[in-house]
Amino acid sequence: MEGLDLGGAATPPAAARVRDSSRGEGEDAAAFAVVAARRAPGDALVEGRDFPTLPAWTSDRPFLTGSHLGSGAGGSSVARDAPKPLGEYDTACQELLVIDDLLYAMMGVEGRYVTASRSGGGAGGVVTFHISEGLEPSLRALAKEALPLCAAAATASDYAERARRFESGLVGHALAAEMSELLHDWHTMIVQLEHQKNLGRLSLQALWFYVQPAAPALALLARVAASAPGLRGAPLLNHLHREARARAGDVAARDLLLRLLRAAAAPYAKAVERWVYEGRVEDPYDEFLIVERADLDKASLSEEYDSRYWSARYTLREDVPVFLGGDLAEKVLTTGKYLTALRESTDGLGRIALGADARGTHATRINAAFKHASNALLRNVLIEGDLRARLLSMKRYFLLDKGDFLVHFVDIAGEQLSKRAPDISVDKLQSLLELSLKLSSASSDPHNEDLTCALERQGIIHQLLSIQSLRDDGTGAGGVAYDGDEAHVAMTPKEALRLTGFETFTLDYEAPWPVSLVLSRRALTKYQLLFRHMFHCKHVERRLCATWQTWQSSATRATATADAGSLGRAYILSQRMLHFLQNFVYYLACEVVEPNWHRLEAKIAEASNVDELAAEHDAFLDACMKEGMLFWPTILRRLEKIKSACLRFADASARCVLYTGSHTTPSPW
Amino acid sequence: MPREVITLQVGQCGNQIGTEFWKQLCAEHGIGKDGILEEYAANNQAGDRKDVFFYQADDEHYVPRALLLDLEPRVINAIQNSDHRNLYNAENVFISSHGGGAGNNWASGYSQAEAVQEEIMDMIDREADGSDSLEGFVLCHSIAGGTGSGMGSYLLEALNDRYGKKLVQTYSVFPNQHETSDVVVQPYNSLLTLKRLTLNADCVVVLDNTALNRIAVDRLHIQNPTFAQTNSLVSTVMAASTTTLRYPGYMNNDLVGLVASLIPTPRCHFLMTGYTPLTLTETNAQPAVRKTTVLDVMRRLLQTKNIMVSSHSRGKDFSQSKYISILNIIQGDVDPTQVHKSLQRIRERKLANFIEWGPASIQVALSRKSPYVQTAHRVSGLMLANHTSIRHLFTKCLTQYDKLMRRKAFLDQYEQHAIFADGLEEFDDAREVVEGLAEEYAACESPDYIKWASGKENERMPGEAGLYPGGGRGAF
Repeated sequence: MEGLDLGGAATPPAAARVRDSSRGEGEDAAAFAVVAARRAPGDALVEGRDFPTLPAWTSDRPFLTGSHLGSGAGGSSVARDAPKPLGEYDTACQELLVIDDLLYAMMGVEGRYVTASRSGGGAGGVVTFHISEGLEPSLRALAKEALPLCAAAATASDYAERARRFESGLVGHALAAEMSELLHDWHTMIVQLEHQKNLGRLSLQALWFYVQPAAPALALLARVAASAPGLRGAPLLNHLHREARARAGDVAARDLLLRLLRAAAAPYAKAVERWVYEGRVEDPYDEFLIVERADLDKASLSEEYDSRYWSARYTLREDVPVFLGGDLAEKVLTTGKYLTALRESTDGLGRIALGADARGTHATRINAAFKHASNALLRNVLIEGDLRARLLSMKRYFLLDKGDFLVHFVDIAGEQLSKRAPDISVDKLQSLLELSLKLSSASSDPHNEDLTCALERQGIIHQLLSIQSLRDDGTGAGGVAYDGDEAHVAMTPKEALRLTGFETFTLDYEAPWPVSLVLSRRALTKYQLLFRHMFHCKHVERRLCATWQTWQSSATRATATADAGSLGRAYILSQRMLHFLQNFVYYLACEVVEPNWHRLEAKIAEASNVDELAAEHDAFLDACMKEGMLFWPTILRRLEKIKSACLRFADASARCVLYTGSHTTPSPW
Repeated sequence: MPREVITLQVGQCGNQIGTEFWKQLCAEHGIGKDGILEEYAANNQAGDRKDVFFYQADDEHYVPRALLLDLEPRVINAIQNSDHRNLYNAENVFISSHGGGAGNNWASGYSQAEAVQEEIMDMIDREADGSDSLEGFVLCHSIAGGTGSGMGSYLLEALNDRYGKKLVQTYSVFPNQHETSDVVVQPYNSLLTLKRLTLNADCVVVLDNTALNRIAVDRLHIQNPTFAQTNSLVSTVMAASTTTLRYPGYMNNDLVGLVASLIPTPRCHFLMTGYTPLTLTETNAQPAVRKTTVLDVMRRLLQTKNIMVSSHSRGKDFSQSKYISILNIIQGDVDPTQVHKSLQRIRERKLANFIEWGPASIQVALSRKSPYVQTAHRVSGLMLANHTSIRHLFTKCLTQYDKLMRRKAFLDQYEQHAIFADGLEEFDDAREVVEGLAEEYAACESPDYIKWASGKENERMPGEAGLYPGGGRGAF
């Protein structure tokens, strides 16, 4: 057995063999056609693990698969002949008869004197062989030695037959093919023994002498065959690997198991190869390392807050083969993910050229592929996607890094924004926004065209709460629990109607692929929340400045001279409000955003792959939101109260100035 | 472009510091002497906003939004013969037709301005019409001479009348009180101008010639500082105080936001400035400050020797004088965390003495530096502060005025003009306003300023106390 040709190719695929044997049998061919038809239109084999079954005759005709052994189905014909008891022959004849029967039994065929029985009954049981009574004791002792061999061969071929079903998967098929290959060698040997027997040169001792070396190998095959059913994919490989490791001392056994393992792992390795080199999942039997969820679309990245495209489109299966242990499997996953991303961004041009050199272990090759893929995607995002510039734009627009465009925008759009939300025309706001972008220092930004504006339907606290509730059943990233009494998450329509544009206005940004990996909808929503937070503070600050300017008008100053200090309390109150708001905005800008931004910039420079990049960016936003008190509803609510008090104050002072009538300026402005 | 600011330069001093200011702005924005953008600044990598102070003519060259006004031709002619002559819009230059100047007489300047008001207001209207959303005006002048003070005063009133809702900020140069001035009527001029500054300006940046000289001598080691040298100090301050408008950042992107928090009550709007580290481009003197960290800069800004206003009688009253508000504009490459730490250190050491009746702390605005101007320092800082010791400047002015007035000296020059035709009530009126201002600043030093303010209110307007219940209710 050790001298067998190890390089032999796998036997023809199971399905092909099925086709061959089905020829000429009309109804079976029809049945096969049905199966073929079911497979043909790309019926997803993976979905719901609904595999086609083999044609019915594979189970109807037990003789084809050897499952008749010991089930009594075949025994009847032999029983009909009722062979003469062995005891009636002389020893020499007995020997010849037994040799003949044993050779049959070794191929899995019952003879007249060597019969099979199946424990447990049915197709799953274990086959054992017996010799009829009456054999000369010394011959009987010798022949009995060979019986386990026959049983082992039968078990192995039993598995090889059964594993060709669709549901065994590619790994199962490969293992079965390899076993058939080994059994084929075994059969060749039996043929040679039979030839010897026909020449009259084979004694029972000689037979035993010849088959004895194959015994441990067959026993091993039988052991594998007995324990393998039910296992597929990675667990099957792991099982083989475990068996091989357990036999570290037995070189022959280990080599045999490794041969099986190598053969069984071949399709798996090929799938890994396709994935890490091309980023494609080819997994008709739902057993490969990577699970693809084709229903997750990358467009969702820029649309849904909770898009799981990047995290869930491709995932690792629970069972990972040992040879991809450690972080290798994770690396394999990421590599392919990056490749897919690259392919989607460059429309297939981003393929990696696979080095012709196939030497080296799979680990180094995966590592190389990983490095290549991650570098390529990182480059793609950073350079072609111009991520840095885009992040700067985000900072400029959403975090008001350079707030001049906003000053202008509010100047020209203030009237629109002070209306109730339903009365505001978003198109008008959009054109005003574009105008102010063109006129401000933002005009030199190459990405300012991707900026759009929108109106939210809810107040900022409510939006935060609804996102919080989303998160509770999701990732739990923020980790700050909102008060228990927040049962009403959504704003009532009546409340929502009362909001003005200043409270609901927000910006939006269209990040193109692959930058949307980093600037996903989730990140954008956080930017939007930060923007609304700051925008509203700025709005209140602006109103207070306007109030201040009203007080400053000469008429008021004159009044103040007449009775120094009238309105004094109001001045000081307005001063306090302004002081608070300016300090708060300063805090947001210079103590929250800026330091975190510095940290992010450093991290971006260090990041070695896109996942790190996205994670750092996410951490940046979370830190900004956390330190900006957006995760702190009690404070936020108090802040809202302060701001609304400030706005009421501004309204009241405007009315007051009107009422006293002291403010009369013939100004055209 | 939004939030434009129009600059009015009035009189000899006003035009001189104005010119320096424009030179500085041109250098910072990479604008050449003739208004054409330098090549290195062409692609706007700096992300600056030139449009606040400039507009573009048809041939793409930048024109300052500035009006050059004087009653005598000397200074303006000098500008028009300098290499910056093509920068300004020739239509925006006004020189009185008789060219005699105001003779250091406030009343003369005032009435001459009144006579030509139509022409000047036309120029102002034209500039205002040329801007999208005018933020306000900046007036550069001195308060001692005739044109800057008299014409400036008239313009302040006229602007208030016509553009009541626009902000008016002035950079007012106060006379050197150590030297005996060649202008003997200086106290009259100052007092009359101070009245307008109090009533008609929103924000006055006080530039005290006394202190500017002191700084030039002590800090820059120039024995006899020339006008050009002190003027360049002024232009540095003016340029620095507008950086947040020109280099947009998170905050203070408009003039209102910048000054509103500094000025708690309408009349207390006289701001002191401090700048560090100071250098003069013309001198070869070694820079006096070598190490510039944020803490360093902020600490130096609080030292009186860096402040461009001299507070008198520092000995007896200084301990009582307090900061009403401080805004530090820090320029350069600054790590925000450093700012936070510096503020903490300053608070711990109680380096700044604040009023007790209101929220007061050092506010910080971070701003970028111009990429086109190379400076030896990494960080530089400007302080704009509202400090009660400024009242000593006013009381000094009052005593000087009283001295002159007691003798009724030189009044005849004033009586010739229309405004004093019916008597000298204008002087008494002005004196009352300035005295009231000094009193208010003094009251700010006491912790119960609010009581003082509202006490007066109750005393004088008992019926109006309940006029706006929303305003007084203690929400805080």
